[in-house]
Amino acid sequence: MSYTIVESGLIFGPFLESECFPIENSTLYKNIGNGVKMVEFVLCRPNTLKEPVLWMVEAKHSSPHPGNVQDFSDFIHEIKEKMVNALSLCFAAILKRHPVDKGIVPASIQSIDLSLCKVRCILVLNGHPEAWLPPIQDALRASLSPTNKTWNLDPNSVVVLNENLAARYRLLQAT
Amino acid sequence: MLDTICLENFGPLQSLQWSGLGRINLVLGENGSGKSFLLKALYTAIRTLEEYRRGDEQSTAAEILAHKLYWTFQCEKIGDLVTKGADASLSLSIDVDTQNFSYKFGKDTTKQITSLQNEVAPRSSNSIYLPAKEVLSIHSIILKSRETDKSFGFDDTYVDLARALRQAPRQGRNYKEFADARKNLMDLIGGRIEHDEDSGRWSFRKGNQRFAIGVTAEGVKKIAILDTLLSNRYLDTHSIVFIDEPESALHPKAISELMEIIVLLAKSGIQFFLASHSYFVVKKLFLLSQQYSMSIPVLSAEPQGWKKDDLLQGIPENSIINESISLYKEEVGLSLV
Repeated sequence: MSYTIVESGLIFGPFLESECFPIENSTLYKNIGNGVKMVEFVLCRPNTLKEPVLWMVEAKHSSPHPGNVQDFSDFIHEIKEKMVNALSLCFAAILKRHPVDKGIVPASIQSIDLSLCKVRCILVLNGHPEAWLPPIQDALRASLSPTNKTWNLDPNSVVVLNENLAARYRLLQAT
Repeated sequence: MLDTICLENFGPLQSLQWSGLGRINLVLGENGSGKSFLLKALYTAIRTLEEYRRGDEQSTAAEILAHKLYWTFQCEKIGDLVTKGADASLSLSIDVDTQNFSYKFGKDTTKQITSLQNEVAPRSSNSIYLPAKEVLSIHSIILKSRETDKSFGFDDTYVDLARALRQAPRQGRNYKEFADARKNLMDLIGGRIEHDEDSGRWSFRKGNQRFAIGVTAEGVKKIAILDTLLSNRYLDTHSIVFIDEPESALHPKAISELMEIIVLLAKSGIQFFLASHSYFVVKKLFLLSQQYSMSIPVLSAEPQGWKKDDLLQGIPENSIINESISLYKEEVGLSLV
């Protein structure tokens, strides 16, 4: 069985059920209730060294121009909040801190070694030219820096993509 | 104001036409693409028009131009400026306030320019070229090398700037935009430079403290030079300012503030030509062009020739922005593979 996830005008996937945790639509998240913003889904993708990597993926239609300081800063703050919540909820689920049915969290994620696993916080912006992406990635990385440091994540754990790059990295089907 | 530029076989500039120029004009390109060369070519033409018939000057425009080209490009004979291997002559044609100034000469020309047409009325304004390096700490050396030793080393852009800085500050009301710009420049560096006539030395004054110019930061000296040219009235509202690498020695934040000051001065009437390879210069000027709906023509050196755009229409594809994207993609590749 596989998942496709439709979000922000993009069709993500298909992903194997064993590698994808559609966290935003999960009973785990729904049981928590309102007030916790969440990313769309979490993937477990091994890197070239066969190490498991958790991809927390959020999708957006647009972002404010960095020149619009207040809107841009609110936007970055919202994405950061979703990423931090996703990291917490995912780790909490793996640690079995929530009473949920077996199989809600895919086995590849449930069995991951939290002391070693790598994390990627990925924002996919639909319709953004490549030239707009570097400053957004820089801003999101700066915003997530305290989280990066406290969890000892890789310095390159924050990634911002448009739909073309997302397809290149197998998040979407190439059109 | 320079309206139109046309050069043929001028050193690395084989063929270039650029019209519809604005108050601020940006030249982009990698090292060795001919950006500085273009600015110097324009500077020599404008300074020729400004020195011609000034005061008791009796030299012809052709004599002034030949002298200016010789000391600016410092080649054995000015014919060496003709593009290597070119069959035709070097030529330059510019429109200044809709009037034309043009000249041409061949590769065998030593110092006699026989073909020169000038419809431009004598200019009372002074234009200036600000090189990438500051000149304050070597001010006296520059002047001595030319005025005493008559030797190559510092080209005319340095010598003219050193002479312009020698003029004492003038009291009295300055143009409003100049006064505003000077206030912003002072806020940016926190002080002003002063020249001591007796010792011939420059110093940087910050509040009640005075610092030797040798221990003053490069970026501060660079900003202070522009401030001095506004305070001693060397520049007026019809001047043209050529700035080579305005970004050099400046923090990105200072680059942004300098670009804002340049826009302020451009509104007063000064025309700017900036040669840059800075991401921050391009980005900030793009934002300012949008903010003020201001045309900022851009000339980009591309492998297939010069490309013309306007920042008002967006940031053109160019190697500076492309490098930023390339680094970003490299980073994404490291993260997701």
